[in-house]
Amino acid sequence: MNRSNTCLLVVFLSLLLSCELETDVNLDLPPFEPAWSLVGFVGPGSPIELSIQAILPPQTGIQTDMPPPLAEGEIFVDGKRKLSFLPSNDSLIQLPPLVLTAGQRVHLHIQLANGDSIVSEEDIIPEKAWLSSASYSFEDSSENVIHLDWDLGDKPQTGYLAVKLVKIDSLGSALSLDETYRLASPFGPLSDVDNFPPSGRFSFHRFEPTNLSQSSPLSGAWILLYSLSETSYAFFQSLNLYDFTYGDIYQQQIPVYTNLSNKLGLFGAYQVDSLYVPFE
Amino acid sequence: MKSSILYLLTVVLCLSSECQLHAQTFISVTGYVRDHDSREPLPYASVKIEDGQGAYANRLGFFAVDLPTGNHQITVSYAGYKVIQVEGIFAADTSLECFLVQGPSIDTVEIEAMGGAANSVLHRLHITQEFLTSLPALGSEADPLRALMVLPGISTGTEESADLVVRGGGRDQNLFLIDGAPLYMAGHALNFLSLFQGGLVQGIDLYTGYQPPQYGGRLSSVIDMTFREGNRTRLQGKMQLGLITSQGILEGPIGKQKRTSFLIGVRSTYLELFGIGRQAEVEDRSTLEDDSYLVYGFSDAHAKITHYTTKNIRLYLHAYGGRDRLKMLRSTPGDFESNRNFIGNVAISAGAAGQLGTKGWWEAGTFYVTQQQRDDALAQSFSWESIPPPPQFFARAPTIVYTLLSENSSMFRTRIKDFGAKVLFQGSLNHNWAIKGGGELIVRHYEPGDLQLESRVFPGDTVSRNVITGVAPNAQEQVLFLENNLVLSPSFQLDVGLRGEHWLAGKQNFLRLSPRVRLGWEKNHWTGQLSYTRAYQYQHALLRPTERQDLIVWIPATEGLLPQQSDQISVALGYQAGATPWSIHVEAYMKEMAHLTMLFSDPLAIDWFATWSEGLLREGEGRAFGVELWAFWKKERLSITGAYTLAWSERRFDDLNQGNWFPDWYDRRHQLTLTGIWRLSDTWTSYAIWNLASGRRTNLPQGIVPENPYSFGYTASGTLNQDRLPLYHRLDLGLAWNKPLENGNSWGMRVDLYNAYNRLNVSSVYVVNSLNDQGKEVLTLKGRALLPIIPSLTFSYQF
Repeated sequence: MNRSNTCLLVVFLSLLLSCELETDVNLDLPPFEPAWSLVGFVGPGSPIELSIQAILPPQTGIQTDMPPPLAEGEIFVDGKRKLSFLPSNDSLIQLPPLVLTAGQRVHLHIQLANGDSIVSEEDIIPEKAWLSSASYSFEDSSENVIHLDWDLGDKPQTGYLAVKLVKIDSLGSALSLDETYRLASPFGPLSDVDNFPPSGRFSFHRFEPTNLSQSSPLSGAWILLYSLSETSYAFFQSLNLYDFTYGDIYQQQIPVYTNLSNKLGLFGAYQVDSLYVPFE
Repeated sequence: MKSSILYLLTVVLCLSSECQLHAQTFISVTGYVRDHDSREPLPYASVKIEDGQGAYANRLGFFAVDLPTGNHQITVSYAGYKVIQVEGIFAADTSLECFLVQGPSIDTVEIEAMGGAANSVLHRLHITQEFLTSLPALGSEADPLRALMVLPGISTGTEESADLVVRGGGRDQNLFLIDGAPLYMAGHALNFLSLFQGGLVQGIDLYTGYQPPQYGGRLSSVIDMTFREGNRTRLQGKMQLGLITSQGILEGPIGKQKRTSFLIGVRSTYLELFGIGRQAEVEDRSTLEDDSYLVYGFSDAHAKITHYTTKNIRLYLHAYGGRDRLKMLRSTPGDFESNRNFIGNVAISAGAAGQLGTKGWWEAGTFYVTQQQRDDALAQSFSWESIPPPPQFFARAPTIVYTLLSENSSMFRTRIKDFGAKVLFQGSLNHNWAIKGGGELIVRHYEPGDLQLESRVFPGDTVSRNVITGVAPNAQEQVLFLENNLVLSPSFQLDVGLRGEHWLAGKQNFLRLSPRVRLGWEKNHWTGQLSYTRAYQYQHALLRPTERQDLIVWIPATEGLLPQQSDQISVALGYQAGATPWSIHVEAYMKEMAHLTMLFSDPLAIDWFATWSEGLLREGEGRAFGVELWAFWKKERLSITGAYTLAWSERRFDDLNQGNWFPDWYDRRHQLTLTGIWRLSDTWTSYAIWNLASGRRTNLPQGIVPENPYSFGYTASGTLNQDRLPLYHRLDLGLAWNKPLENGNSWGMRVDLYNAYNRLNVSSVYVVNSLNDQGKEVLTLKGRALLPIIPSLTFSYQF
């Protein structure tokens, strides 16, 4: 190999070895447009909660404006106004339960003080799903692990289902009723009824802390079976998909489902069945 | 779509009524077109008679032409070879053996039609070996799949990937055939390079629109690669030494009768050799500093034997084996982790082909294909103690003594195995009606995954083991197909075919019919085509949308998981100038897809291969349409090719985007590729490719939804895939020098610059969460750019 070829080889080898195969570059975020997020659920006999929050600009994370006072809020059932509520500055609005039956259509209209409005698409109250049994089946004394079995039985079910466990500590009043029944992930199984398991088991440590108590042993647990509207199911399912893809550089993040006019949040319908299992 | 089919059939019937048969006596002229030096077949060589009628040879150089009895001049031509002419009185069936001598041509891609002479419209692109080895490429590797990406309608999945996305299809919807054996992946790990050396490939047939009924099982495209047979007249070889890989090809005759030849090719990386010392350092943990080591390598080998019997029946045996190795080590004072990934591909095919009767053709073949991946992981925890050295004149580092506390190891393996056989017959009922038919049987064995976990705790060596196994039923696929090639008039040809498929997976049967129709037209220098293709795909890939995935786990269509389906209509128009060497083709297509799937399981879940059913979105739909433009121009030593695609591609899943249609992740609106090859002299050639394309689809964060009683906080990002990555463009340059020696051997050198102006093309985006001065969470948007300017240099010696 002559000298020129050797030089060429050295230059190219040096260039090749100095190549950084991955380089990070800064990109501009899209311009921020102020918006409001609302999440709320409505079910027969269950208290209604609406959580309304200002969207934070991704560049600063600072809430530039206080939430605009609520000018007027209305919940419609089958097109007729059933509930109106007053202006509020709270981010969590609590409303009394409504008498509702499966098949009725509900939607929400909120007028904000700044002139904006948030309107939901109509959602349909789903048929109720039924828990057949829930039982405290076994405690592994050496590990202090409790197993809790639940079963749907043979009664036909419809729609989209989700099951949830709420642990109660020995103080007995660890969780308020509202929070116990609140429809919020994470769930156990969540799927359409065709793929929903007919029975299942929760396993947990007897001394696991509840939301309010850090050390008391558990005295019992609620098994809650939610029957979700298609809209509510889509919301929680999209949260799962978002969570699966979050933080993975090679995966596209999935936008969270919405049925609101401003494209952020949800007003959905559900029903719930529950069984309490005391631990002996 | 149905109305479109009815319209197509109406047009066909109208044209049939004008068909006229002439009462003349015809004879058949059959034969082979081969390279004079090596005796290798010249696929799709042109065989024309004086009035412009004639035929193209098939993939193996065989041709059959019907002629009226009388005096004729037959012209045989092939890109890069000197034209030969045969003239005489043809009074009876005649057999010819045509040997062409290489000439000073720089023709590149031939755009031609298969079958009779009444059409020459783009429905199959045949890419010659010369073309795919002449393009600038990453690491100076002549890469067959990257060569395809200069064609219209074809793009990569992600920049660093050799995956193909064809006409809005998925990365898993392309059928890769190597000498008849279907491969499940076409690229080595990380997909930087495809599995094949360019110098071994004789030609590639690419079907993106009309798929002849003999092909099936994939929705988007067929990439049928035929490997060379090897020189039957003399021993020859080529050695190539590059910065990234080195390779060698050896070929020659077996025996003195020049009926048998062999072809062997081997290739390997050797970056691993440079890192042996570093690997030992990380494994020894001789210092208390964090350390890591990553190395990747692959090797592959091809071997092929071809034999021609005395009756000109071609027999072949082709074997391919490839192995990828990826090793990652990481050590800290308290921990040591290692991950070793292996991907192995094996494809063995054997077959026979020959003339059937006076002008028919038959082929029969069998294959065995397997692909497997194995991931071994080890995580160890240590306590450690630093023992100071004894006092002496020269200071020594302290000795680190480690005590193993715990060890977790895992071994994951996934595999798929196929065994199949295929027959094909081709013949003519009369000089206006040819038929092609056959059948195929494939047995598929799926092993989605097998994970063995073992944990040990010391002291005491307490052991716990766990095994997770993914299950999928095995499958059988039986296929019968038939295609009619009808010459309706001197200008019109109609191809009508049907493919009947039976799929059995577990207890689930699927029986499907795939009609295929193509109407070709040719007048003077103009050609046109209208085609319809229905295709089914009975396998689903467990793919996350944009994930860079080295290996795909495949599962069969079975209960609750229907076969994917596509319907495509395309219309094409082309003009091939006579005296001046330029051509232009335009093709428009519209494609609908059904029963698509997409995986959205937790990427961190170790049992995702066993619980894929929970995260698999099903019953998706797809639609794609676009216009492709292809132009070629050549003048003396310069040839320029341009490919432009204007395309739309969308998807719909019930559980995504509120059930509404959304742009596909690979929806690139515009894509332009310009390719130039300039022969500076007899020894120097320069190349350039410039790519310009719309950025891939993505979602950019528009705001932060704070945590609330019903959900965790999340990033608001509008409707799915509403944004795009920045514009993509890249220039690749190459310069090759080839010096023939007096003894017939030659030296070569090649210099390539991949991404010559070092454009940082973003292939993915991510957000960085951090807290600002007020303690609020803020997001910064980052883009990750891969593959900057990469120089490469290769020396070769050919004998």
